[in-house]
Amino acid sequence: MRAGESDAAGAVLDAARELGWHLPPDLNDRITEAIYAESSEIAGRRIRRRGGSLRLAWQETLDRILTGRWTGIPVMLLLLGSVLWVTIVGANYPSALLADLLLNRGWHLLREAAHAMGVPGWLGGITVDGMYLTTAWVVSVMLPPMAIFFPIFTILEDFGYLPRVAFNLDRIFKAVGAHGKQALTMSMGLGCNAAGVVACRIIDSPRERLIAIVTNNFALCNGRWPTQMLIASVFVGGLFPPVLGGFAAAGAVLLVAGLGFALAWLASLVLSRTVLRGEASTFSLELPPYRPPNILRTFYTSIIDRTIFVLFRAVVFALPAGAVIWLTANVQVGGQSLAYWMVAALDGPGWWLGLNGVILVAYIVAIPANEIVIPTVLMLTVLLTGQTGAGPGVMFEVDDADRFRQILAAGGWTALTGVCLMIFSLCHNPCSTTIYTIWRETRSAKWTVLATLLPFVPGVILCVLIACVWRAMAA
Amino acid sequence: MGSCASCGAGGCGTAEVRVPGLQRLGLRPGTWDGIVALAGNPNTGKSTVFNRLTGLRQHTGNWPGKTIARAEGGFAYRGRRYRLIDLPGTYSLLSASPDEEVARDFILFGRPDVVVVVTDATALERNLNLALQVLQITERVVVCLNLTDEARALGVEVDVAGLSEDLGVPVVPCVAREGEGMIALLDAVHGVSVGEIECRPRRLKLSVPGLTGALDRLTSLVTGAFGDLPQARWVALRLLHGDRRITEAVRTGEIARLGAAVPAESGARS
Amino acid sequence: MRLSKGDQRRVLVEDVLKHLHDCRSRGVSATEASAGGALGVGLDRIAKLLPELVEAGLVERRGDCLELTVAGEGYALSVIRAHRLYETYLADRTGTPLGEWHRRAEVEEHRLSPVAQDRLADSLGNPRFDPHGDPIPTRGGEVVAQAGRPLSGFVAGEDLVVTHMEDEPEEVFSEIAKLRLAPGMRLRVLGCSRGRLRVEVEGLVQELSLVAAERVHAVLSPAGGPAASQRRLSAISLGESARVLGISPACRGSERTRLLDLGVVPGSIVEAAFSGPLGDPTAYRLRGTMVGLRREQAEQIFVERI
Repeated sequence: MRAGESDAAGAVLDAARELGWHLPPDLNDRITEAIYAESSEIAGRRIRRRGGSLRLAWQETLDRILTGRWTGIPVMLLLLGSVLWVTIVGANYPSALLADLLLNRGWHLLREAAHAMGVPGWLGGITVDGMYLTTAWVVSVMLPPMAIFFPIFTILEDFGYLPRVAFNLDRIFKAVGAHGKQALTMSMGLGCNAAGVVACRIIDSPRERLIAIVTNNFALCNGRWPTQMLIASVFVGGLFPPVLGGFAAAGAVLLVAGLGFALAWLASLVLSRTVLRGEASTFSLELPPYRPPNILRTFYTSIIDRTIFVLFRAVVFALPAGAVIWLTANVQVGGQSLAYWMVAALDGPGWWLGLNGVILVAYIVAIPANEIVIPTVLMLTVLLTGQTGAGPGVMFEVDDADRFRQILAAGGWTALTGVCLMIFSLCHNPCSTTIYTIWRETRSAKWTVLATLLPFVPGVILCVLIACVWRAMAA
Repeated sequence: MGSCASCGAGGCGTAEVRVPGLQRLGLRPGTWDGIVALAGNPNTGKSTVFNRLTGLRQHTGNWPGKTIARAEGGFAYRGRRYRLIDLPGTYSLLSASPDEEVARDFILFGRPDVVVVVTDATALERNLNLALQVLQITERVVVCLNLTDEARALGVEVDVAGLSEDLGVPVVPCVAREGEGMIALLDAVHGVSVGEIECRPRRLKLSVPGLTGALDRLTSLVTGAFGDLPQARWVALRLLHGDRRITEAVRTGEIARLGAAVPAESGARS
Repeated sequence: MRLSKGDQRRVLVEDVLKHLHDCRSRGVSATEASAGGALGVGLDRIAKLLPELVEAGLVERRGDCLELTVAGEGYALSVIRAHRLYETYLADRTGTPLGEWHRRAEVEEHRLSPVAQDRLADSLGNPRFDPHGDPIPTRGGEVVAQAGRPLSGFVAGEDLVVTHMEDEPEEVFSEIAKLRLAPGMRLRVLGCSRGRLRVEVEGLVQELSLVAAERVHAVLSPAGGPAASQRRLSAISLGESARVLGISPACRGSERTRLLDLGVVPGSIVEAAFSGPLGDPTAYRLRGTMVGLRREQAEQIFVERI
């Protein structure tokens, strides 16, 4: 008997110990068995099954196709590919609309208002050109693709297809000590890594959940697809004859996305051999019956739950980052802007990576969202090369590929820069929203730091390698 | 029956079906007269029922393991305000996994006035496994037989009255996604909560060789030490299992509180 | 983690006592040299420590030989209890890989106070054996007798029950671990060829090296061998049904509870419905639901064909 324990309680606990000693060792099994026997008896008495249900036949046919030996994976790739295609193509129009509204009209309106109210130039710069513009930019490029991607994804989820994806691909993930559901969290990461990280909750085992969280950034997110496509069409497509250019560019982007999955797989392997040692553990995946999805409600809840949620986090980070971006271009030190000094300092490392200082600075200051990397690159390039842009600290974009190429060519860009940028865009730190989400999900500085830095390992290795080989071949 | 097409833009969440007498209190129930806990297997539509009753919009999906944290909300029905707790989805209450511990501890120590066990009519056998366990812990249970439309489509017919007789608690067939059966569910919750409906939950026989004798002895010791607890047998079983939380509750004497009537100052609980 | 001087000394004392206990249970005599060798510690440190142990009434000298006193035996058993409880804890409550149980328990055995041991034992349901089949000393210091002799000593055709697996040396144990043997499993010796022993373990034919067979202990099965119709679920072909007999004792902790929860209990009917495009996992129809299981897990489920 111990302190704090009454005589009666002590007697009960002692008796429990004593009696427990003589019970069958597999007590838990026996109890579960006994309970199941009762459930089975009740169910047998109270349930009637009619044979030949149309739904049942339909379910079996679907499963034969969606998990079939020859059809399972092609259908999956087709579905996922179409979702991405619809997202990217479909987002263009609303994005342009939002951009016109927020970036063009809204920004001009605010500028005039600030001017009319006599707000000092620097304050207007920080708030309107910096904070507002950056935030508006993030919203206009992030909202439409997410508002398309997540509902479609959620419909697949509601329908009951997603567990089948995990089922189909589990073997690949088992080989590296991970869980089949990681296939899902990565697919979700194609939409947004922050949402992908949240989705890792569906993985029960803590070890495998951490692997999925840490490697999620290798899934090329919506914020990076446009960068990839732009750079690929301008630089990779340009290496081929015009007829083949488009295909070459598309192929290059798919190659990068595929590389992301390969790297995630490899990183999972390394993690489960080192810091997250262990064997692939339990896998019991329920395959729920297919259900006709309720499309309208799905749209509604997925927009509320995922899109707005992620967007809100992004906005929170975009506001201060906007101020920082503006300040780097406008604060003068020793007769030059802060951006100049930062770019100068990073030009060396940038050269080794096949990139340049502008790109590295852009990745540092544009940490809130991958979507604003290219606008920041353009702004910094015109600032430092003395071309005409929208003004120091003011991000902009150009619609015309030739103009885009001209600006960058003036900044010293070559095809090598483009290729390395595509790799670096895949393999760099997650955006701040994702980093914050990783911290929220793991509550651990250690895993957050690891997840943030891990992508640089293949990123730096690949970029340096490509740059060396490229230059050696060119020379 | 509600249909999504009939509601105007902007209102198309879960709120489109008007349930007479139901007032959804969302996240802030304020004070309440009773606590209702939602238990159930993963992927049985527990969150959908939760959303229906509270007007909140927790994400749901055809996919086990969506709800991780415990969600809370509130609703009022027939003049009584309820706090609604959505427990993590579990298959059982026997293991040491964190989810099951949360669910088990809340049903036992959170002293809910009513536990609604949401079950999937298409896989009733497995769902009853959990329902039967809940019936050992608390007497005031309503079984929500969800997804009856799916069951019908799959050719499964459930004898609801017979099931209710077997379990000794109300069983309400529902299609939570469409809002079907919500009034009946609320009536049952209300009835059990105010004592209009008396539950006589089925007690498990647990005919495991070697167990019955030990369980009987320990049960009588538990009732001897802590009074006539309604779930004494279950407490004894957990002690034999080595449940840390229950062992601790016995050690500190907290377990005796389970015998006392639900406190009357319910309106002041916050 | 760095240990303080005092802690280092206590760890050494406990290891020496464990060694003496081990020698006694194996029926060999312990000396300063054997202790130093077994623990990988310089003889001078042992020689310096021993007088203190004798002084404290834990150890007696009989010529060159060292023996535990009653108090020393009790102390050693308490350390062993901590070790085996902790291994059971790792097996049942964490996802720690099999190969790491021993190493971690070697550290933790010196940290668990008797009170902490009792709490751990309570929370594990006061187990009698650790996952290797070694008896866990009770809080009173009693040890259940352990039966069994090495598998290599039995002849073909005999039906056995595994009672114990040696967890050292590590390479040999990893071979045993791969077979997922566990105390309580029934097996039949089929024969020996080219230095490997063929056994049928609960419906699955497996082979192990003679070195490993030396380290698996078993007794003759009182209830005979497994029925001819017994299989592992992984051996059931698509479209076939089987009746569940039970889950392997090697499947423990959350993995076991999850299977039980899903309805893998004796008497359940399972049908192998379809397998994934990569051949694994396989979806099984079970109690009105569809559950995907990996091959390794299906192998842990004992069934009989119907």
